[in-house]
Amino acid sequence: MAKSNQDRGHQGGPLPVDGTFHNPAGVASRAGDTLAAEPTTLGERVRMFRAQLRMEQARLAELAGLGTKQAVSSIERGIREVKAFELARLAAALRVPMDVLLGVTPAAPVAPVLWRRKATIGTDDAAGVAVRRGEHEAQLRERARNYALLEEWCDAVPADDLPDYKVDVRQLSYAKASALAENVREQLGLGSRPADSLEGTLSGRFGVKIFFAPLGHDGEASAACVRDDDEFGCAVLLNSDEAPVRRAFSLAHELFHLVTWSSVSAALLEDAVDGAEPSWYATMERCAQSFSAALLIPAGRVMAELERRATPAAAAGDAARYADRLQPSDYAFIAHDGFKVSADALLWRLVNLNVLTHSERSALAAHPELRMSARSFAPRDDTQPQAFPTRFWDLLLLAYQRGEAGLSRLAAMAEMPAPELYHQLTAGGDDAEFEASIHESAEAAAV
Amino acid sequence: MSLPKLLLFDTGCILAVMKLGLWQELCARFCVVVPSTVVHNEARYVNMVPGNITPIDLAKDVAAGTITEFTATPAELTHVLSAWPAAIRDRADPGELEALAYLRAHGTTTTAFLTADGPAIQATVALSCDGQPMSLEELLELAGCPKDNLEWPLTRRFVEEHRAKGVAHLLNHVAPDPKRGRRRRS
Repeated sequence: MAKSNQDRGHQGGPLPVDGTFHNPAGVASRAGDTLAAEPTTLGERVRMFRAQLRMEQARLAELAGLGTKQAVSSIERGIREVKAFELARLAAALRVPMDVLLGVTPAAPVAPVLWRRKATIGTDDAAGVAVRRGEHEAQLRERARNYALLEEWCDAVPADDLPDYKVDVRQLSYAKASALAENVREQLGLGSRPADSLEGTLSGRFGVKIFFAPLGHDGEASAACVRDDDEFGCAVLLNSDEAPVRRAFSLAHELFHLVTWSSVSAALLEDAVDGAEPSWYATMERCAQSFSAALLIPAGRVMAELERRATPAAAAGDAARYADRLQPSDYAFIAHDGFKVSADALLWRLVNLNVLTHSERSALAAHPELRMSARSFAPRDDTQPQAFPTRFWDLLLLAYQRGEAGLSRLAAMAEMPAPELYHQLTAGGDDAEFEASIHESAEAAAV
Repeated sequence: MSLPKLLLFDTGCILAVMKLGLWQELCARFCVVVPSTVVHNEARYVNMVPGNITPIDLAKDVAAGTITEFTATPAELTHVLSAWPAAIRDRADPGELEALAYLRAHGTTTTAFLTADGPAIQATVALSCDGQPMSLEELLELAGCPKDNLEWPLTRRFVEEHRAKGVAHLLNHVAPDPKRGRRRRS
């Protein structure tokens, strides 16, 4: 069967591999962003940090339990005395350390956060999206900062940073992104089924801080990442509402941004005008998808898997026509069993490798047999992933036991009430043996 | 150490005392002061046993006159934070800050600062009130109701260890770190 160039997947890869177009959101805030004049009063600082979050006064009043927006307005204008417990609530709501809010320590430059989102958001909700993103960004930075502090307090700062490759983002191609993925897979030692080892390698060896937050089922935002090697290293926010089978893919997508961070940041600063994304940004996002697919689905191994499950070729020259030699359910099986990715991701990767045509992919993607098989392989566990990784909790426990910080400070870091953390930390009761064993495990985690 | 007249509580100690069932007794025997941050933000409930949450309403105790609430001003907090050892400033908790503001403004030699917060104990050295921190273990012994197997942050040795660390901070003249909050590899 002859294939047109348009039909055949072109060299280096086609459209996004998960079947959903992800618009980049560009950079929400840039390194070094500060107001022209450093605020001198508490009210001015509250206003500045609120503006950085794009937060309305009413929202801050709600988060800080201050009643009405007039209370916030009065505080910002310096005509209302702030009690200590209100100040603590303001600092928590603005996600700013107390010493920074009080002006004792200057605010550090804000690292930009890169977002990935789907194109289902209408422009009429752009303002709402921006506000929600502002809060998520502040949460991501604060979590990453706190995680890094715990690493420091417990002498557990990872020795290695992720590599940072120099790329020309204006000249990116799917082929280059795929080649980069091969490099990264090898350098990180991800093995033949990278989805299994990706999270552990990034977290354990390179100290990448991976958090989850509910970002919505409608795809308002899929994931976000930020890199600041001086302050906290790399951090990723994944959508806990996303199907488990897509998580490794999302993480790999963010990894592309993390390993090209300095190139992208520099180009964004040069090319973004008034916060609008540059023309090359959409292409870069698609390249990140290709990177993700190539990273998680190594070419050699996927070809071997296809050959293993395919019926023998009927005649010479038919070797590559897997569409005729595989059942639709085979793709779902290979995606799940071989690579731990979604069937959609595998199909796009096969287009990328010129194994399938676009029309074959479309037909397979809609095939009831494939959909049913994919559903049967999908994890049954519907529980939401934990907001913080296990290593974060291990370090928190170690910090408590060493007395590195008090209960309330640690509870704030864990985003939970102090009594709840107290209960969890002391759940072992009087059992000294139990206490000793968790102490040992926490020490081991730090090492 | 003689029996203190006034107790200044932090959240960790309040929760421990509540769990031990000694809160009412201590409030009856001593003049108890609690920072507003602890009253309104932090000590809101306690898990007596798994699954059994007991609400805490310290504001009610304040209204009834059983305990006294202290509220620090932003200026007082700034004062304390400025004196807080720079090397451990990122470990300061709002409730402890407020407690130390009280100690600075109203503390006497018979005020005991009941705390299980290591950095706060260290900071008392820089704030010249390092005689005030007291462990729950010590208070319970002095009050005639000693308890065994208290958690490490509630012990006498914990307080002593962090007081010594505070002295070390002072002796070493740890300068404000220009890269505060930045990653420091060990």
